[in-house]
Amino acid sequence: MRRSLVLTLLALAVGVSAARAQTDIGIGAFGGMSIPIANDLSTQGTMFGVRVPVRLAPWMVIEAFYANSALGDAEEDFGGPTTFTRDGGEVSAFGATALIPFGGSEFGSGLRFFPFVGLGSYSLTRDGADDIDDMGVNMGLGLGFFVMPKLALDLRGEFAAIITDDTSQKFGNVTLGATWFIF
Amino acid sequence: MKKLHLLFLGVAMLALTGADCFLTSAQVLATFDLPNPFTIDASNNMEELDVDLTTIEEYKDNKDKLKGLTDLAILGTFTNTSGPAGTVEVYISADENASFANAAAVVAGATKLWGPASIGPSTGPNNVVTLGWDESAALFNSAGKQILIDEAKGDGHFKIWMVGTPGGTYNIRVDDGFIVLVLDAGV
Repeated sequence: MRRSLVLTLLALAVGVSAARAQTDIGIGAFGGMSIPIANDLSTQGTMFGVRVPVRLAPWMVIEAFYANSALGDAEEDFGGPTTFTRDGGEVSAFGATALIPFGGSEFGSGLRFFPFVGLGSYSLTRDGADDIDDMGVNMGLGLGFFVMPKLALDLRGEFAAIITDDTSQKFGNVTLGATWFIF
Repeated sequence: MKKLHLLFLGVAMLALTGADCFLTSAQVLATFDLPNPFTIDASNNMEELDVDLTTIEEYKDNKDKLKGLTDLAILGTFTNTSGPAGTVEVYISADENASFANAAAVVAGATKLWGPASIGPSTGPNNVVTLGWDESAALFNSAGKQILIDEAKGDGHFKIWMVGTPGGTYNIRVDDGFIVLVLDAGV
């Protein structure tokens, strides 16, 4: 049901963009690091992913994304002679993010600052534990600029939370990305 | 356009402010030290252990905000000091006053929590086993795990039994044993 909701939102974004006469659509890749927040079971790891931004209006970009994080293992000796290692786990997610660009005189030029907020379907897998498949939210700030008329680079700081009933598993992500605008 | 920006950001901030119940949470590691060492001996083929989680500082600090357990493991070094190859299992009872005469009674009257973990014969090269954290986490039985979760959310006081292979006549010493819990708690 949660995946259906995310897919419906994505379909809606694509549908709205198709109805517009002038729409910018791109494809991008990103990579960086993922840092668990208030979580003793994982340590900092790496992440990568792809994005498909669709500019619906000068002030609004909807972006479909897929992301994967390989979190670092936790190591503990518990005060004994043996050090034990717990698999940090792997997070995969897909969903949609809404970006609100500020700055830049026109699309395709200038430095842009953009807050963003999104929704996704997250899956957390860890050796020896049941998989966690839940809805999650993400939000953050980005800084982007065009190095060429159709090629943009961006740096983002993101907070993501997988909502597990009354609690959540949270991560801080820092990524560098490149996006090529096709249309 | 600026009004639309501000409206969008305002809605996002309101949504997050209202979501503090799940955002202000943490996964906190807590360990309960088992007696060091203890022995599953041939006389009754089991060892009874009283577990009181309220003796753990991290548990006491988070008990009133505890939502559940994210992860569990039983760790330690198991040494077969006499006897053939066998297995070790752990059983649990929510009743801290429960008592059983022998391993067969434990198996019949308590709920399996963890295992089996295999150990080689006392004369063989695999007579000492230190399970990995991942491997141990995978050995939990869902019914016993639920009792442990309920106890952690309840008074935190329960009893466990380490049991050797039924019918076996051996001694297994457990050194540096821990119950490892990752608490899912509000902050």
